[in-house]
Amino acid sequence: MSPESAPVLPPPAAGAASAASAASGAPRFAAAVANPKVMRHALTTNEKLFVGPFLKSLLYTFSRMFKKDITRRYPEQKMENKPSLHGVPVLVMKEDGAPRCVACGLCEFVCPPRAIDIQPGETDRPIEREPKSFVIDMLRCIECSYCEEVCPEEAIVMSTDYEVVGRRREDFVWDLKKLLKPIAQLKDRIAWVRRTYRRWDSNADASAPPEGGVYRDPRWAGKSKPVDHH
Amino acid sequence: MSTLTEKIVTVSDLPPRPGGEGGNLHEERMELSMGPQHPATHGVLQCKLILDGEKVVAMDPVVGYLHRGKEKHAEHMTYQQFFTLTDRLDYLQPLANEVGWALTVEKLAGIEVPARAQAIRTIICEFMRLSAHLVWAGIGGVDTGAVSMFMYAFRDREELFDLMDELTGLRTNQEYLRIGGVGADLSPELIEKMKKWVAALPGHVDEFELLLTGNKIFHDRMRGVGQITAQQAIELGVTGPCLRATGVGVDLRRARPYLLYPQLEFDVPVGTRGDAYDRYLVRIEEMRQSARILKQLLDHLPAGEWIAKDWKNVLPPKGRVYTSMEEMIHQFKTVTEWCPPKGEVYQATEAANGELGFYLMSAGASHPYRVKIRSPSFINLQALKPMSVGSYFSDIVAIIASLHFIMGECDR
Repeated sequence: MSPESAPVLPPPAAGAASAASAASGAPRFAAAVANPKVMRHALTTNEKLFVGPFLKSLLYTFSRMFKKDITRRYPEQKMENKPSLHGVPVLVMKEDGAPRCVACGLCEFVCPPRAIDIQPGETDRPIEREPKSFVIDMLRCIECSYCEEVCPEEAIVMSTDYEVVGRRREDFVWDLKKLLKPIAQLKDRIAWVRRTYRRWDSNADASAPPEGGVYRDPRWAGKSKPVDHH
Repeated sequence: MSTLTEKIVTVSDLPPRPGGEGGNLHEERMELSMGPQHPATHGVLQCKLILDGEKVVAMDPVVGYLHRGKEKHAEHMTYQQFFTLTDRLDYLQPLANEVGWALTVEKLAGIEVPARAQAIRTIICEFMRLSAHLVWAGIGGVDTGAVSMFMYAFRDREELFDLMDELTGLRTNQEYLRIGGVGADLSPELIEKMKKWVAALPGHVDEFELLLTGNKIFHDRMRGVGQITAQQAIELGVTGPCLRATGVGVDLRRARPYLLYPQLEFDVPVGTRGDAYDRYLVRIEEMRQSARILKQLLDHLPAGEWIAKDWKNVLPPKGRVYTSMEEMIHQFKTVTEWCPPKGEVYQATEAANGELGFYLMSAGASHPYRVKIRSPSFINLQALKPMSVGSYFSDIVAIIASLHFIMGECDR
């Protein structure tokens, strides 16, 4: 096949979707395009004697000694933390020490391994509702970040902490005290969440809650009073 | 074919040994259980063998040691939650399984996926094919005596996982696919890193060939071993590289195109004899073709959205959820009550091992009514019996290596 005949990506995306559905009426296996046959290598005399190839592979292995090593010496040399990294989920603690969480239970619902357990309770703060207890079983958690994606309050985010150790099973059951992390430590990930989950709406970033917790929807500017949810 | 009720064959079931039982080790048949802890059975496969000297007289593969009931689990999970279990089917190519499930659900619900999301899905499919084939090259090398192959194949795989880590946040079992698109965008820096890796790959595949293709020990272990005809392979339902090695050029990327494959240029290599050596050659060539596909995609990645702009099926933009009641309700409804219409669909994708199909029955609820997974590993494993009977005991290791089934996917 010549490079001129190479199709340039992308003709309309709908074409691909309809091609798949159109093919369902087609015979089970469409007529195969001429397929190249793989070449079965016949051993040369040199290879049969095995001395040459043996030395060649030995030389190849030897040459690797002088190339860059990709092994990471793990406990001493840590992985660099990218903002996309999924560590264990933690709860966002505001500057005043209170959790952002309003115990709506959406993360508890979406959690595939059912690692989250929330007991909601009332509070005198303007948000009226907060978790009385919030428990994540880190032995069950698979760090899928679904909780972070569905959270409507930006209250649970993935941390960069991927090393969870303990001596007993109870050590892995994290309660509010262990889960709450100051917002200052989670800034990178919160920025990543806002950038990523605004999806097709490039303006959505502007309406994300500022750190003070006062929400202002640009579409309702001047029409209603800002509400302090937290 | 053994069924659930059929008893595993023992020496007493076989016709008398020609030449008679001599009463000593050289002249009697022996029952041998290989696995499920045998390192060369790639997981938890048990092979019940009857040997006559070194020859395999009869064999029965025993599967089910890794059964986790995924199909039943699916009936109690939402459609989005089931992605986390598809990851753990063929754990060498988690994202390719996720793509299969995403396409199934989208086919049922009739969701249009934007071009960029489709391109990203195609990219990760090919990356996962490479991931699976690299493990195959490494482990297959170890099984046939080339232990250093493991290091070289896993070097590339390590770098591949670094790329996946940056894209999805997890090295393996990434929960990256969403109904209607993918979980995050592919950044320009990451595209550059991927291009660099893809450009280096064909050279590395040549290095694998340098170590294996002309190696006499490897030749002796692989040539003429585990041979099946095209007819046999089709009758057994074998798909993927194992079928193509017999000369049948069926690849679902061509035969029943999905994603952006119709617009891509690639070859489907086929073998001639259908032995372990052909299966090796086909996989090696497929790695080159995957690199070719990836190059085309990464050079011409379409712009646009990475998730469908579909208020009814996809979670709304996060910023609006914080501020607007409408989107807040959408967020809760989509997570808890997203229901595709009633119906049944089957969607097959070409995974690294063959046709990975999901048959989905929906009763219109937020959970699937029934899910059936057509796992290529389970069906390719059926070829193990005709391949091994009559061969030598040590050939079984090479046959298992060349078939490369993943027990996580086989037992589901």
